[in-house]
Order: sequence, then C-alpha cells, then structure tokens
Amino acid sequence: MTVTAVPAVAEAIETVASHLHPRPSYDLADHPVPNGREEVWRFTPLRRLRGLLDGTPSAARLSWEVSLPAEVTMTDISSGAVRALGVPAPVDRISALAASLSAGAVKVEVPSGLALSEPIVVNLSGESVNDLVYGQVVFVVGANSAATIVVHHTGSARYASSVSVLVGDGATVNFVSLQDWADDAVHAGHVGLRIGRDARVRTVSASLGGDLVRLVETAEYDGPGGELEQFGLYFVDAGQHVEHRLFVDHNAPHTRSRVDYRGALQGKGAHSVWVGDVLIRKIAENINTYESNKNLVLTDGCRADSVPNLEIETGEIEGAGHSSTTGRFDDEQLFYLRSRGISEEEARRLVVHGFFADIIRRIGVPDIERGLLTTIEHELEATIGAPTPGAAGERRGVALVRACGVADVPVGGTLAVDLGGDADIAVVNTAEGFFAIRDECSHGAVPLSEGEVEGCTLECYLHGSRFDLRTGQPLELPALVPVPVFAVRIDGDDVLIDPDQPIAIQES
Amino acid sequence: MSTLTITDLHVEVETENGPKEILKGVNLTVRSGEVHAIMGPNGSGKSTLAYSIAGHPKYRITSGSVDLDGVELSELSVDARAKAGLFLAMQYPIEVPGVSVANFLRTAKTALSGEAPKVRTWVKEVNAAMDRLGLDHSFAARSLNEGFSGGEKKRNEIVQLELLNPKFAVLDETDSGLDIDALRIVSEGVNRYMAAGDHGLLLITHYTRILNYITPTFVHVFVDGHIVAEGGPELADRLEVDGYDRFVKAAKVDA
Repeated sequence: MTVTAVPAVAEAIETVASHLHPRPSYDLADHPVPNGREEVWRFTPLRRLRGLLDGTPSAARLSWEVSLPAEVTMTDISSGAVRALGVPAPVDRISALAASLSAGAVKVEVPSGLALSEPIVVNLSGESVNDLVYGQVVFVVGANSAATIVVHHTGSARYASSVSVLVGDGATVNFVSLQDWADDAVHAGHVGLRIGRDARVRTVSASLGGDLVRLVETAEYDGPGGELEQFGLYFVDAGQHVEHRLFVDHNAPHTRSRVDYRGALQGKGAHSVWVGDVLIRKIAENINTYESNKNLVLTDGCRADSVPNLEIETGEIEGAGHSSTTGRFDDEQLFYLRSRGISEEEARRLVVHGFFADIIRRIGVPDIERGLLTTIEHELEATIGAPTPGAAGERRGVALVRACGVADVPVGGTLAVDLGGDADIAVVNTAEGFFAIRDECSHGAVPLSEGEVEGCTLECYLHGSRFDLRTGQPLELPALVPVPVFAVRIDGDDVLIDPDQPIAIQES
Repeated sequence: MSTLTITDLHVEVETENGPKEILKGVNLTVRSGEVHAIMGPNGSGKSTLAYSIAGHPKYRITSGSVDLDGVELSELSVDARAKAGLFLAMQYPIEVPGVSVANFLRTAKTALSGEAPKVRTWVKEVNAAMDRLGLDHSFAARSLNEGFSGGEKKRNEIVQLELLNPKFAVLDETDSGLDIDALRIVSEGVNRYMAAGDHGLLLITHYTRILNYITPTFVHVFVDGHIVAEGGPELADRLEVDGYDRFVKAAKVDA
C-alpha cells in the first residue's frame, strides 16, 4: 500500500486552490451551516435535507449485507485510523458530520497484487426515513490489484455519508454506487477517490430513488499516470432532487480524466443538478480531461441545472474540454425510428434505453446491469406509458414468470425449464449469479442445459461450442450464431424470467 | 399490384421569414415493377419530396395527395405510413446511440409484421443481408449508425430495405458519397429488392451514375418544386451531356 498520509501533495508546491470548492477539512468550523446562497449550496433545497446539516448525534445504522471474495477483509476502524490512512478530507458540512459522528468507519481492504474475479458487493439498506444515519466507509485497494466494488443503497433513511476509495499504484478499480432508495429517503455525502500512480479507475454512479440525493464526488491523484473514467446516470421523477457535484483535481502530471453523466427527468418539480469541475494545477502538465453531461427532459415542469467548469493553471496540457446538453427528444432520431414502422412510444423508449445503455454497460456486473435496465423500464412507464401488454407487434414490458427456485440450481449447475416458449430455457447458476439462455445450441439441436458451466459461459456437450451467458455470443467454434439470453431477476427464493423477451445484444 | 399516386402536391417549410413553399404541385404515379428516377439540381426540392411522402414533421403538406393503394398517406403518422408499405432510405441516416442495429431491426420487423420474428431464423436473415451488402456481422451489435462511415450508413439503409421488404421505397440520394465499389454493391441490393416482389421505387438522385447500375423505367427532371420533363432512360443520357441548365433556364422563363 503506497497511499501516503499527506493530503494534497500539490499544495505544498503551490497554493492555488479551486475557486469553486471549499478547502477540504475535518474541522466543522470550516464548514458552517449554509444559508443556501453559497455557490456550492445554491441549487440544494436545504429544508429537504431534513436535519442532515444540524449535527444531531445518532447511533442509527444502515443494515449491511456484504458479499466479499475470500481474500478481502472487512474491519471496523476508529476515526483516527481513517485520518491516518490519508483519505480525502470532508468537502462539506454533511461529510464532515459523517466523519465525526459515525464513530469510526468500516474498512474494506483488497491486498496488493490480487486480481479479484468476483465483485465486492456492499448492500446498505435503511428501515425508515426517521432514522438519522452517519456512515463512513473506506475501500482500500492495494497496489497492482484489480477489483470491482458495488455499493448498493436501498430502503429509506436520512443518510450522511463519507465514502473513500484509495487506489494503490498500478491498481485497476471499478467502483459502482447505486442510489436506489425508496421515495422518501434523503442521502447526502462525499465520495472521495485517491488514485495511485498509473492506476486505472472507473466509477459508475446511478441515482434513481430518494426524495433528495446530493453527492459530491471528488478525485485526486497520488502520482502521475493515473486514469479516471466517471460515468453517471440519474432518472429524476416528479418532486425529486438529484444532485451530483464532481471535482477532479488534476494534481499530478500525465493524468487523465473523462466524465460522462446522463440524466432523464420527468414530472412536475423533477430537479437535477450536475456540476462538473476540473482543476488543472500548475504541476499537472500533459494531462487530458473531458467532461460531458447530457439531460433528456421527458415532460414539462422539470428543471435540469448543468454547470461544467474548468480551472486551468498551466498551459502545458494535452487536452481539456467539456460539454453540456439539455433537451427534449431528438426529432430526427424519432423520425428515423418511426419511418421504419416503430411507434412513437416505442421509439421514445428505445432512445432512452440507448441513452442509458451506453453507461450501464460499463458496470461490468451483469446482475446489476440487468436490474438497472429493468428499473429504467419501470420509470419510463410513468411518462411514455406501459408497453401495450400482449399487443401484437409491440414490444412488451417486463413480464416476469417464475422459472424455478433459487435452491433448485446449485452454483455451476443448470436446469431446463419449459415456460411455454418455442424452446425450453436453461437456468444457469454461476459464481456471478443466475443466467437464462435458450436451451438449444445454435449449431445443432442439442440442449445446452446438458453442458458444462465455466465462469460466465456454458459449453455445449456435443461439439464444444461455448456461449457467453451474459450476451449469448458464441466464444468457441463450431457455433457462429448467438443463442438468445434472457433477463433474470431473483425475488426472494424465486428465479424470475421474461421468456418472451430475449435481451438485445448490445456489445459483443 | 400496388400504385403510389402523388397528385398536385404542395409542401411548405417554416423559415425565419415565414412559410416557404418548396413543392409546387408534384404529379407522379409509380406502379409496382417500375423504377422512377427523380433527377434535379441542388435545391430543387427533391429531398423535400422524399421527406414529405415519409411524413417528416418539418414539412407541411398544404394541398394535394399521396395515395398508396387507396390509403391517403398524408393523413397517417410516420410509423403508420411505414406500416402501409412505405420505406425511405435517407441521404443522411440518423445516429441513435445505445440502440444496437440488431435491436433496431428486430423492433422494426416486429412492428411492421405484427409479430416478433423467430429469433433463430431472423438472426440468420440479418447476417445474410449484411453479407450481401458487405457489412461485417459485428455491425449488428453496434449502435445504430453511430460512428459508421457514410458508405456504411448507406449499406445499412439497404440492409433494412431488404429485410423490411416494403411495397414502395424512396431512395434519397443513396448514391451520393459512395465510391464505385459501394455504389455497385448498394445498386445490386436495390435490384434484388426490385426483383424480389411486387415493388416500386422512387430513386432520387443528382447524378446519372447510379442509373448505370439501376435501370429506370421513367426519368423525371425536377426543377423548382415540380417535374418539368419526363421520359425514359434516354432522358438521363441527355442530362449527362447537357446538364440541368436548359431546364433551370426554362423554369425561370416560365416563372
């Protein structure tokens, strides 16, 4: 682990700070209670933070359900130990309160030199919006390791969070944060990334639920050569406030950052805020950065604030840019799709799916990708209308039927089920979760359920064709044609499948 | 046997200075089995004719009619026109990020035929159509038209033409921007479409070179929003030699 305990190394060299971001600090005196006119608070309806700024102590906790690969450790550490790790300091009052009132943190650590084949999944859920919760989580990924980390928020709470991700030199990290809260939840906080030398970090932040979600997502580099990609998506419904404030601090040379956040808004009072700020310090020569935010406004009565900023202190850069677009559906796209017979509703649905699919496919955890696509389908039903059930020619909504029980298929096992389609469906349980694939090899009429499961693939026993269970794509000859795969949802003890709707193959 | 009948079609667009009439009374009848080439100089309104027939919201039909086998297309929505049997191959096909070609084709086929195509035979059909147009199968997984070259977009339009199999197709300058090999491949696709059934074609073009590959039944010269001359393939040969000048001057004298 090469993370040093000295924050903001570059500040020792120069004193220029961001004009748009307060100095990070653990001291609450540096983060007075805002009045709402401050640059960083002006978009936020403070009253709807429902006491997250007050500093009332609380011992309430979110419930934790964690899936950890064997080599990964999880320990409780003290606040002092958190600071000693050199995590990015709190950037606002709420994250400072989370750091000081959470009574320590949970540290999840991946040792050095280890490539995890399974994701770390942390499910955090709240019971009630009456609970005021301060939480602090630190992820440490050792040098030259590779890890996918998923933090999934559900249920309800008033939650002040401080999350840090310390990425060691040469490590590769995929960090996914899902704000999938119930309608009344309030969540505000800070996600701070520190990126080691030559490390590669991708983040995906998806905010779908909650009454108010406000996340400050910061990134800084711990040496040259770091690469950062940040993707985000949000779907904001009537009355919802979703705010993402990004700050990439290019404090080391030869670093790269790319930000792509996309949101859709629908319903009266839906409000999204995206503020992207990139600071390129004097020391940060030959860096490259680009930020983009796109908002798709689906109905009247929504508001999308989108503010990209660049603060450039050196002329010696490779590239720096940003873009922001907010608009309705593109008439030309709809015309093109409709000119092929696709109804207006279906065309709109396709365009929104496409808009988000580009982000979702970066997650790399098939279960989560499918879950998000399903959630977006549900969201769209509010505006575009539910897909006409059973209507000939129309694509139907997700009509899930029970295929079998979770316990019916052991990991590494398969089960053929007849759901009334023109072929059986093979339910496959793997270390990465459940999959469903048409139970017939595309090379010959051979049931795939008789074959071998290996990782995320299924091999046909007769001729050895191997298929990717996520996409249905053939990976080994003799098969050349993909086999249809189906979305799977686990509901309690049941495995649910929509047998009439194979997943469209987005990416080979 | 199908017939597309365009009668005294007038179309305007909204401009900064108010509405402007682009089509000034177009009359044209296309029967299945016929290829009608519409040729004209830039700005004559050829593309407006294509978009108006297909129902692009930018163009407003002020009078006249577009009739397909007794169905008045101008009263139908864009997708209903497609369901009635019309197809427009666009000059500049639109990029739709995140929507794969495979998903798009399947959705369109389902919408047009009223039922989802059988997955396995459909994938084979798609792959075969792509093979014929010289598009790699990997295009099926790519976002629709996104990052395609001009020629790839045009090939993809003809892949759709063959798979969706409409009664009538309007090709809006499909030849523009194609190199000689692509032009041949695209033309062969169009000829296959014409040979495959009871189909009619409106081929809008600026240049005569595509007519070396697709033989027109009729050639119409389009100037200033209407047809000013009609003839057989020999008219295209004369245009190749003389250009449009004669017709443009005549239109000005008439005006």
